[in-house]
Amino acid sequence: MSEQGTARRALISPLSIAGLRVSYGPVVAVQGLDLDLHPGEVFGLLGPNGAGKTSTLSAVEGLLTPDAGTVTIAGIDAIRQPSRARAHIGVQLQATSFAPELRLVEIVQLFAGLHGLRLTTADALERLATMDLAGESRRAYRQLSGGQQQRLSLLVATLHQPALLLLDEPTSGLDPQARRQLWDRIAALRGTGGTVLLTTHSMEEAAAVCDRVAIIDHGELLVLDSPASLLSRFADDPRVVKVAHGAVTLDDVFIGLTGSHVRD
Amino acid sequence: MSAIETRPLVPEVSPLRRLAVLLHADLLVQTRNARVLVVTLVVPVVLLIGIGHNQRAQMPTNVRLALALMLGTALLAVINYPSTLARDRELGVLQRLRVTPAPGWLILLSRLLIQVASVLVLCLVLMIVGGVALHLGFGAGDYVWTLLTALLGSALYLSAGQAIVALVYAPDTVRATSALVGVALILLGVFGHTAALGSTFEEIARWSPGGAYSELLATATTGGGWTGSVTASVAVCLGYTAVFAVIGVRWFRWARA
Repeated sequence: MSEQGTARRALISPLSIAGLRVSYGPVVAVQGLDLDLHPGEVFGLLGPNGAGKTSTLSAVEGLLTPDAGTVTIAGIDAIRQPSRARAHIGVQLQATSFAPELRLVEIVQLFAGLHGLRLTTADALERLATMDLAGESRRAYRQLSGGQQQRLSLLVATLHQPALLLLDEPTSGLDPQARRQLWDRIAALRGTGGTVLLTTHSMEEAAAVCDRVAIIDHGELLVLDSPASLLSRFADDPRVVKVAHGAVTLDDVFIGLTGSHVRD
Repeated sequence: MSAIETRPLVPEVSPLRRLAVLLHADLLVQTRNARVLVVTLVVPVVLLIGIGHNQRAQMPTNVRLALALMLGTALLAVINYPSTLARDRELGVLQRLRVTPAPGWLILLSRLLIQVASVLVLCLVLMIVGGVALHLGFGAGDYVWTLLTALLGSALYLSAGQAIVALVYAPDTVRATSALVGVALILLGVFGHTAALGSTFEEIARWSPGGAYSELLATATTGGGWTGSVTASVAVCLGYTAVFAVIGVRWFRWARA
């Protein structure tokens, strides 16, 4: 595979995690996690603070080396070949930024170039326009609003049409309009055949955009199903009924399974 | 899974191509920062001319140039480089780059190369300004030796900067620490040429990172030949560089705690 362009190839799992174990000294963050994502789906990874979501994402991104287990991205061993595997993923991290001095058009060209795409200024402007950012193309990143920064981050993560898109709490801090707009964009990504793995604390978001969700806690998988199936499966579960206020929601299922106590 | 999907193939990209992309972006960042440009370029030039026109300074011309270049190197490599890296680590800029196919060593190499290039440009500017404004005569050999010395000095000071940003975490603390270390290196370079604080201190200063570098610069700018003293200074510089680099790589953290 030496040239970019569209080609047809046999479908392989965009992300397969098996027996993943991550620890920080004596603290085990992820223990024996197994996940297998389907091509073209939006998959939600849910869990309270400290459940192991970020550690799982970090292992997938190649930012940490797990104690045990395998992470395979588009057929590539992401632990042994992290750089090769990262060519197949797009990442929007919750707490990251771009160089404050760079202009938007330059940021787009930088990240496209790192993925082997040579974008002219006109090409970059065209990409920015898809996120309603063409008017800001000459502005420095530090001059953008929070919503604009979020849109740029999503654009950069999807420039190379990755097989797997990782979104870490993508709507955190966004107003309702911007959140809805982002959901629409995620839905559009699904339409292009890309797979999306997102973490979120919003059950409304999970129900709105995810085909399947996995709820993890203490580094272990508790349940994995579609949001609708989770609701029907656990609607009568005593742990869920106990915390429900009226009709059972996905929030109630989540709290019922992971407990009511507040995590730090 | 028997279905077929239609997606772009992932292009093969050479490390050199990725390095070129990173260098372009890092160069833009460096040139956009007016404060850095003024401090690292103008201050050494002003120092060179100021000392040169001060008859009471009684300082040999080669030492003036050596001190101005040492100051510029310290400002770029020991103060600006770690401060910018610490800021980018805090903001998450480094982490955003790390989730691309570019390996971590390439991201740092690009930043280091921009600083090395800046030191070499500063070196050329100082020699040209010294030649025009102070009538310092430099031959082609002087330029070559001085540039090679500046290259060695930039490696030494950048490794020190890397060690600072590896051992110290918070951006404000990195800025304060790098400023202190930068001033210390400059003063050691100055006292390596004077017995004002006694011959023992002069000897210690002479073999410090700042002293060894300034000694090499002073020799290079006078067109001095390769002597045992030069060999010793080069060895000292390389030794310090190796130690600082090991610390800088071993304990460097990419993300905020």
